[in-house]
Amino acid sequence: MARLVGFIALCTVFMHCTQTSSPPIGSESKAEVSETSKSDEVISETKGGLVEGIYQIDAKKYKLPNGLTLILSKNTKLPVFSVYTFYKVGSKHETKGMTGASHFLEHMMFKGAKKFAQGRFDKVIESNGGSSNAYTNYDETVYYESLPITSLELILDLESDRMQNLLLEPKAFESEKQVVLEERKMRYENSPRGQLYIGMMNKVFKGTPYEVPVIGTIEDIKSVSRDAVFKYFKDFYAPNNAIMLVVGDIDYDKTYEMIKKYFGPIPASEALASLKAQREVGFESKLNKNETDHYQGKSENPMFTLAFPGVKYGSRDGYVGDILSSVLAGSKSSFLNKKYVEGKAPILNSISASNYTLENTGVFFVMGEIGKKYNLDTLKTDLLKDFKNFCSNEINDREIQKVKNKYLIHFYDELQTNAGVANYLGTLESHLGDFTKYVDEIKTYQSITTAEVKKACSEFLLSKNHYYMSVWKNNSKKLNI
Amino acid sequence: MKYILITIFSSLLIAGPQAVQNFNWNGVDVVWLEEEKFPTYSVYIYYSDGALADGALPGETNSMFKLLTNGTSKLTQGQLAEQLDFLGSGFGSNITHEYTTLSYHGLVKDAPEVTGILCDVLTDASYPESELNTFKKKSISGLNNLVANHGNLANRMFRKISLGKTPFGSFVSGSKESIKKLSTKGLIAKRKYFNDKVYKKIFISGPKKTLRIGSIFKDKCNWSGEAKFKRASEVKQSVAPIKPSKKPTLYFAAVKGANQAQIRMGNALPIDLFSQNKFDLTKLMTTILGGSFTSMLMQELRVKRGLTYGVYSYAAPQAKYARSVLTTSTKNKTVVEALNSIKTTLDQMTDSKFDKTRFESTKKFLKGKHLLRFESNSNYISNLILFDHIQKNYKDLYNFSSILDTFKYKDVVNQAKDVFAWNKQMVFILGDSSVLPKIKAMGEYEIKEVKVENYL
Repeated sequence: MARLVGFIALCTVFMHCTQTSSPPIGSESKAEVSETSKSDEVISETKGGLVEGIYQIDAKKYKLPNGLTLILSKNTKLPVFSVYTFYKVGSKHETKGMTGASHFLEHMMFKGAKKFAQGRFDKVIESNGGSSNAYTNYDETVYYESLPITSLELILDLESDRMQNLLLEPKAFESEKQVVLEERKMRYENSPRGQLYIGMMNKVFKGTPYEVPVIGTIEDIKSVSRDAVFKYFKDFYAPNNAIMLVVGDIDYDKTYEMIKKYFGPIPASEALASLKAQREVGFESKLNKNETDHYQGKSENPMFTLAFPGVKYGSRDGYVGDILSSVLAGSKSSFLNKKYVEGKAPILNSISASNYTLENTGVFFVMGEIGKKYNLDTLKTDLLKDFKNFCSNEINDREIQKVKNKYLIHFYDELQTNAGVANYLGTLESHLGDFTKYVDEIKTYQSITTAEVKKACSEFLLSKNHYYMSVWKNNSKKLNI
Repeated sequence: MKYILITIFSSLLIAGPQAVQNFNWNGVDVVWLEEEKFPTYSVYIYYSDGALADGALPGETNSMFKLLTNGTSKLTQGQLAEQLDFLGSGFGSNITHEYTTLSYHGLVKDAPEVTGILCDVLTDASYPESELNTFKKKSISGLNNLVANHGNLANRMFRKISLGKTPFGSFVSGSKESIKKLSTKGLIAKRKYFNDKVYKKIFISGPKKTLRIGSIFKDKCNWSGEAKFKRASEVKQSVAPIKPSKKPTLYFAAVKGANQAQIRMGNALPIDLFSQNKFDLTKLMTTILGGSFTSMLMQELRVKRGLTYGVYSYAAPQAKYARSVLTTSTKNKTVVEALNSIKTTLDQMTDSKFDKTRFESTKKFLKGKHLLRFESNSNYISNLILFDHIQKNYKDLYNFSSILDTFKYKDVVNQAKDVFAWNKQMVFILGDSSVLPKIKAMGEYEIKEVKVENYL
C-alpha cells in the first residue's frame, strides 16, 4: 500500500511520467511466472516477513561450480540495488614484507582492468547514477556499489572484469602508494584513537596473523612490488574465495542467470586452499602476562585502552561478550559510564567497551579519555578493581534486557537499506558460511541469561592477562608500528 | 551504451520515493512518512531557531538541548538515562545557526512512553548546577584536546575565519570563554523559549500505530499552533557578494610537529546564489568540481598526483546565508603543489575548460545518487526539513532529475565564477611552521598568521 501511494504521488509530480516503459533490466515482470524455476539450484533461503515474531529477509543462496557463493535478496521499495562482493582475504593472509597488500589491492581494484581500463571504473559507475567504495579488515576485503536497477548487468560485467583481469598499471601503482601513506597518517599517525587501536592489536596478537595493522607498515607500503601484489591478487581474488550479494529490486532468476554468464567462466584459484592452510593458523593471543605501555602521542588529554584476549565471531561466548560489553559501557546508564563519566566529579570525558570478534579470535577492550588530572596507572588499578565488583554485583536481568532491546532496534535499523542488508548477510556468510544465521543470531541474543553474562564477565575480565596502553603528549616512549 | 543511459533515467520517472502525508496536531504541523515494514519509528522535531538565539553567549542553545536529560524537578540524570536506555532510545539534537532538529527513535510499542519522557524534559529540565559544572569541564577539556585532531580543528577555525564578519560565524557549541558563563537560569529560560515561543514541525517515519503519540504532544508538551517565532524571518543582515581580490587572503595557523597540512578554501556567500533552481545548480557545480571520485579535484590531486587521500568541495545554504568549502590535506612538502593544482582546477572550471562529457555524466551521477537517498527514511526526512527551512517546495525534491536537465554547461561555469573563482577564495592552512616560508615564497597570497588558541 505504501509503495502504491508513492507511485501515484510521483506520477503527479514528474512531467514525463509514463506507465508504458519497458520494465528495467533485472526487475520483476508480472507477465512472467518463472519466479521459482531455479529453485532447484537454491542452496538455502529465508522467506520475507514475520516468522515467530522475528522479521525475516527474503533471500536465496546459490553456489556456482567454480566456487562463487551468491546471495540474492529482493526488495522492491525503490528501483535500485546494491552489490557487495566479499573476498575472503585480509591482512591476516599477508606475509613478511607484504603487510598492507590487501588494503593496497583494495585501492588498486579501482584503477583499471582489461575491459574497464584505468579511470573507467569510477566513470562508468558514476555516469550511471551510482556510487562505489570498499573496505579492508583483518579477515576480508569488501567492494560495494549502489545504483539504479537498470545498471545491474553493467556492474556485474565490471565486477567480473576486475576479478579476473586486474591490470595494476605500474605508474598508478607507484602513485597510489603516496595516497595510502597519506591515509595512514590520517587514520593512525595523527589520530590518538588510531594509535591506541593499532598498538593494542599489535600487543594482544603479537606473533599471530592479527598482529600487523591492516593498512600495513610504512616500510612495506613504500617497498612492496607490483609483481608481489599481482601474485597475491591471482592467489586470492578468485570465485572460490568470493561471496557476492545482490540486494534490491531484482528478479531472482534473471539475476542468477546474469551472474552465471559473467562469473561462471572465471577459473577457481588452485593455490587458494594450500595458501589458506599455511596462513590461517596460530591466531590465539600469546599475551602471557599483564603488560603496560605509555606512548607519546598528540593527545592533550591522556587516552587509554585496557584489553583482554577475546573470542571469535559467531560463537555463543561471542554473543554473550557483546552483551557484556554493552552492559559494561554501552550507554549513559551503563556501569562504567555512571561511575567514571557521569555524576558530580567524573574522572573521564568518555569511555566505551567493545567485544571485537574476528573470524578466528577476538579482543575485548575498554577505551577512554581522561578529563582531569589523574594518574594513568592508578586508573588501571581502579578499573581492574571495579571489574570485580561489576561481575559480582552489577549484572542483573534489567541490565540484560536493556541491551537486548537496543540490539533489536539496531537489527531493524540495519535492514533499512539494500547496502545494510547486503553487508549484514555477507558478514554472516563470510565468517560463518551461512547467511541464514541472522535468525539464530537474534534468537541467541534473546536467549542469553544473566548467569551467562556473569560467567563471561569473570572469564573475560578477571581471569585473563591484560594489556594496558595510553597515548598522551607527555609520554615519551615512541610507538613504532 | 546510449540506450542503457536513456532507459535508466526514464525508469527513474516511473518509480521513486514514497510520498509523505501532511496534517496537524492541535495546530502543530506534522509530516508522516508511512513505513509499515518494520516495528520501529523515528521522530524528528524541527525548531525554527538555532544558535542565532544565543546572542552574546555562544553555545547556550546547544548546551540546553544536550543537557535536556540531565535532570528534572522529579528525576535525576541517572534515572532519566536508565529509563531511556531501557527503551533503547535517547534524544539527539542537531543545532545549526538558523534551526534545530531534535530526534529519537525506537520500537513502535515504546513510542508513547519515550514521547512522554520527551515532554517531561522539554517542560521540566532543571539543569542542576552539579551537572552543568561537569558539562562545562568536559566541554572545555574536549576543546583543549581538539588540537590533537587537526582535521576538526581546521574545520572549526575556517568556519570562524570565513564567516567571522557575519552573524553566522559564532561557534554553535560555544568557546571555552562562553561555556564558562553558562548558567542554570539561562538554560531554563532558553528551554522555555524554545518550548513556548519557537515554531515547531514534527516529522515522523513509521507504521500508522506511531501516530498515537499525537495527543501526548498536546497534553504533556502543551504544544499548539501558538508558538510561531521563526528566526530566519528576523535576520536582517545578509552576506554581501564577494569582492574579487588580486591576491587571495591566506590565513595560516602553525601547529608544531604536524606531519600533514590541512587546507581549507571557500567563503561566506549571499543567499541569492541559491535562489530557486540555483540550489540544484550549485549542487551540480560543486559535484563536478569535488563531489565524487571522478570529480576534477579528485582526479587532479589524488589520481594524477597522489597528493592526498581525499579532497571535497560543497556549497550549501540556510535561509539567510550560505557558504562554500573546499577541503583537503597533504604532506608539508607538497603544500605548494597542492595549492597550485587547486588553483589550476578552479581556473579550468571558471574558464570553461572542463570536459562537456563530465558535465553530462555528473548529472547522471546526481540523479542516481538522489534516488538512493530515499532508501533511508532519515535521509529522506533530513531533506524535507531543509526544504521546509529554506522554504523550498517538496515538489523540487521529487523533480530533481528534471530540474537538472534544464541546466546548460554555461550555467555551471557562471555559478562557478560566483562561488569558486580563485580571486574570491579565502584560504586557510593549518600545519607545521616549516610550511609558512614555502607559501610566502609563492608570492600569491596576502598572508595572515592566526593562533589556534584564539579559536578554542
